[in-house]
Amino acid sequence: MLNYNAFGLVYKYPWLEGGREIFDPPLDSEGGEQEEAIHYYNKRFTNFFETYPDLHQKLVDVFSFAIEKKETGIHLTDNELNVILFYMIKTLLAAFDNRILENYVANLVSKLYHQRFLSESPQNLEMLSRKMDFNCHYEKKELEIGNVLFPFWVEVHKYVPVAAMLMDSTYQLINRNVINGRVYLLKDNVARLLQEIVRKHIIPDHQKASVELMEMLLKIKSVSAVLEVISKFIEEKKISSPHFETSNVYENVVYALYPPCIKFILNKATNGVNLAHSERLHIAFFYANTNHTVEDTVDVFRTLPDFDEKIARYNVEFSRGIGGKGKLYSVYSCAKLKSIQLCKAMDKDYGDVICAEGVFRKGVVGKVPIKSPKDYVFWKNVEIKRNLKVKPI
Amino acid sequence: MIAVTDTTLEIQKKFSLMYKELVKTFPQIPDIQYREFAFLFWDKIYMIRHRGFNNAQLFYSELKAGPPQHVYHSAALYYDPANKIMTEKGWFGCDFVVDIDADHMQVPCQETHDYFICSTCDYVSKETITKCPKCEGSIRKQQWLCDLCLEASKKEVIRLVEDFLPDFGFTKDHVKVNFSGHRGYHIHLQDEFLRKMNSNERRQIVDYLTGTNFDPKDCLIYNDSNGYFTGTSIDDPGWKGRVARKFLEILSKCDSIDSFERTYGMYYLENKLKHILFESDARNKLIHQLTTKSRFWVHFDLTKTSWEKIKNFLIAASKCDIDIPVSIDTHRLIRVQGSIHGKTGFVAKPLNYYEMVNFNPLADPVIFSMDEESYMGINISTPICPEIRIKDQIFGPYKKNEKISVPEAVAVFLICKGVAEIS
Repeated sequence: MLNYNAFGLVYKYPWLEGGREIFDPPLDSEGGEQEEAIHYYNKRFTNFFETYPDLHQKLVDVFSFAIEKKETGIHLTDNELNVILFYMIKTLLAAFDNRILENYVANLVSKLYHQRFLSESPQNLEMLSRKMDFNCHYEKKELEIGNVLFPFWVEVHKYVPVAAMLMDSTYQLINRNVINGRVYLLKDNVARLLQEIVRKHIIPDHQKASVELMEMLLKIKSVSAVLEVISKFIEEKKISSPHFETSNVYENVVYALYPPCIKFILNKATNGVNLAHSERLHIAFFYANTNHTVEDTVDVFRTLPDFDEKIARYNVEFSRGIGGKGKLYSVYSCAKLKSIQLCKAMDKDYGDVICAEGVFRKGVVGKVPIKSPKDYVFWKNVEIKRNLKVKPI
Repeated sequence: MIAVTDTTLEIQKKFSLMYKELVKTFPQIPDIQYREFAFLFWDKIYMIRHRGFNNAQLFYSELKAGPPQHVYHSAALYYDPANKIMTEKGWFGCDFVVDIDADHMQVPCQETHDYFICSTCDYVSKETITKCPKCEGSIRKQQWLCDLCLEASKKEVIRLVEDFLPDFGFTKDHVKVNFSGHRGYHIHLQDEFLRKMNSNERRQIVDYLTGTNFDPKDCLIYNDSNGYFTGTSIDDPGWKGRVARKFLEILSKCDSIDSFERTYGMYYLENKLKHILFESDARNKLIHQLTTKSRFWVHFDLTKTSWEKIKNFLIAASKCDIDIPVSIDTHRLIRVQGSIHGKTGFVAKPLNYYEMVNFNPLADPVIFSMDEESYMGINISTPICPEIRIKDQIFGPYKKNEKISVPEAVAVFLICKGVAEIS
């Protein structure tokens, strides 16, 4: 038995069908003449803030808690305010156009919904997953695998796109119980996967023009007050996309900071061994994202038996967004490097404990695996600096 | 441009005549109008890409007119496949293709028939070299094919289809296999959901096939307190069961280090562990534990480190040996089924799974003549030309400058392999 009426469900889970219409009904349904967008939204948003005086504080809390990485203290409601809050968050994120802020906020909000999912009955979770196009099935007769009872299953083709968004290796298809096209799951697993779908819902569509949106929102008094507070938080915490992460760690990357995978390929290249396509790309992308010039990168390939300066230069420039798509390619992730067998974490000559075992991070028990060769550069830098602090006897 | 020799002209002529015959019964290329085509011609070192054909007839005309050495189409589907700018092609899907090829597998026969040869002084090496140690000339790799490596590829396809694909709910009828015309097979899965997957999502499937990142948190761990290794049961689903079944299979088949080396020698395992597993009482104990579906694998001679090594060995022995980038790439070019492979003169033959099982890759894809009246005189141009079986006859080995007369199919094979010229 499901305990939701039509509105009850969408109030609780605003991304479901009908939620967007509550926040932003189609213009013609208002019955009035078509107004200019700014007037229309001014009226509508002002009305939200007047009807729900909590809205201002709730928005400020979501953004400030997200930036501070606090996970408790925000309570979601089960009424229209929850829908308005959800879509206001999306709107503000689209206006800020700041990838780091988006991730922080999406992480926080999706975690709040994760708690909601956990409190649902298995039947409701099944129904919700269907409405979210995840199509998870609940079986009263649970499947027992190794003394564990699995009450849910989802088809591989529905599971893979969601699992691929998760960094946690336990959700990788290979680490799941896969039988005849079905992936068997526990309730926690279903809640975690649905959380990732919610996360995706919150991240705005970057095709839309953020500058114009921001200009329009700033003209709406009630919204501009919120924007002002959030901007201050962003300023204080220096969350300026897209350079926040990069700081100056990657501006002086020398050989000692190179990850094992890069050292391994460089060794091959200097010995005149032809490199595989993926190895060439890995070098080009890594050099493009650290302090290396096009010349430095082309020089790596100069020792290869099939070196052709024109082709090498074109490809190196392409990887940096010079010509072609104009896109700077990012460094391969460790997961991808493992997949294409370029990870050398355990290599007897080049392996390194940072890659093999991970690193200790604040607030986390045990070591956390690194996710990218750029993480290695960061942590190797930390390790070297720590060692330098030890005074020689 | 590559210099056009009499040999190249002769081979082109033979390919052209053969294509005139082949197009009469050319296998249908699914969604031909949405695929990019690419050609490698005999006289060019670069590929002609971004070609599109609205129908098969236009494509056939191209094949007959300038017979290419190799012809490929995209596994991807595009609204505008002939557009030269990749981002403007309008990608809307890509077949999931698995490439199983002896080139990427550890097969012992490679050591006997693959060589590195100096293009200048004919220096021959079995070891990988990139420059000639005698004259510093450039090196070419001469890859050969034999029953052993072709059988290894086929076995791997069978393992993929029978052991792995059922996990995803695929039956044998789902599978379309193309013999590549050389040393392997391309397995095409054209299900709509696979076609829509991006590279990241494809990697989940590829990792599943290759055992990459297999790291269950609840098993395959050593318990320091009691010396038990928490293993898996042969009845477990997915990789957990696969590893247990592989362990049981290996222990059951190998009752000595010698028998282990013969069957599983390509996978690394320390000598000390081989001795414990195959030549001590551990073998029978572990077989008993596995057959009784125990999740605890216990033998006190095996330490935590030993179990870690056994675990890694079992993962390596259980994985499917595929060419990873082919399956992850969503813009990959794949050899056109029904076309002639420019390195062998064999046809890239489309097969269903059952046909593949009985397929003879050194006989069934041979399209040039083996008749007596087709014999051609050729001159061996390379220092080493290993023996080759074509249909049911064995030819070679031959020495450099040996003048031989062989059936057309054999002559085409040796010329395509770059080891002979028309005499």
